[in-house]
Amino acid sequence: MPAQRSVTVQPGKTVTTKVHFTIAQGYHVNSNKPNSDLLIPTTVKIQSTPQFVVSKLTYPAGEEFALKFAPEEKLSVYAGDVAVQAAIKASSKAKVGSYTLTGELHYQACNDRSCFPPKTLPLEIAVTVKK
Amino acid sequence: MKQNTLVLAAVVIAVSAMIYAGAYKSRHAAEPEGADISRIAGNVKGKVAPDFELKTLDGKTVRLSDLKGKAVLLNFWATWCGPCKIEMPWFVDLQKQYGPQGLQIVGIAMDDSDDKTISDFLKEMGVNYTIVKGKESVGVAYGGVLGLPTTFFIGRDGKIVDQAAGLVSRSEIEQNIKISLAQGAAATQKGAIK
Repeated sequence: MPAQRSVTVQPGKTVTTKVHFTIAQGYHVNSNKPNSDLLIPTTVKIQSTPQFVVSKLTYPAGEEFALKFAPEEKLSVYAGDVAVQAAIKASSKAKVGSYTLTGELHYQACNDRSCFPPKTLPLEIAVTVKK
Repeated sequence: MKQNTLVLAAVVIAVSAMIYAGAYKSRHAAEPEGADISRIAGNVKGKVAPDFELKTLDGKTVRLSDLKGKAVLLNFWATWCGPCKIEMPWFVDLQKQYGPQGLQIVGIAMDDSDDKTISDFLKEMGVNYTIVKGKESVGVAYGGVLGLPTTFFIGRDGKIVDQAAGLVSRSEIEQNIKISLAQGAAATQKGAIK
């Protein structure tokens, strides 16, 4: 389970947050917009609730990457530290208190010689509603 | 909109065999078939390649034992695997070149894509060798396929000549094909090759 910090929002307001993840050195994952329909994009999903609507997810652009044996074929990947931005709007009727939003990070990782099966990691975001 | 950008989650993707093994194990746990397949592990060179029974996209059954007397290049791959895509044209050429000498390349598709996606991909790649739909149990039988591509070179005598974990050079693949064709050749000269 990923580490988390809490985010605070007022009823009826929107808070912009970032989901950070780090890809181990020597590995990469496809960006959210890989250069082929066959490649599996990295996605973040955060479930909306009656109190909160996840209105927008913004992914960073991918970096160009080419495998040693196919230098002409450019892939769009994430490597190192990656942040996906999410906008969370609290309902005007949201009551003061602490909530947890759940979601998942889906990715498929490779290094320069091998690829590994797609994987999904759970996410939790603690949200505090204050007046 | 109030911009209150916060770091919410620090997700460390530890891309490792351990993580893969977890996913692999969970997928395999849901697959009851193939439990009687023998397994190999560790240094696989010289060990008898485990037999398997898998289906092609059009439903035909392929057994490794049916290829007795041939040299077999067994390639675990997936449509989402970039390195796999690089070596497929090499396999097409090598099947043309060495097929008449007794080589049979068998690609085991290890992804969850539907048959049409796989079929369209194979057409696009011009694949001329046998493709079967994989099962995790076969990967397990071959010592646990931790990443793709993974390739086994099997001699005419059914024993494993070598294994390549990940993409290797075409010349290395070709060299292993030559060794596979030579291994056990004497024993199969009396028309054992089908």
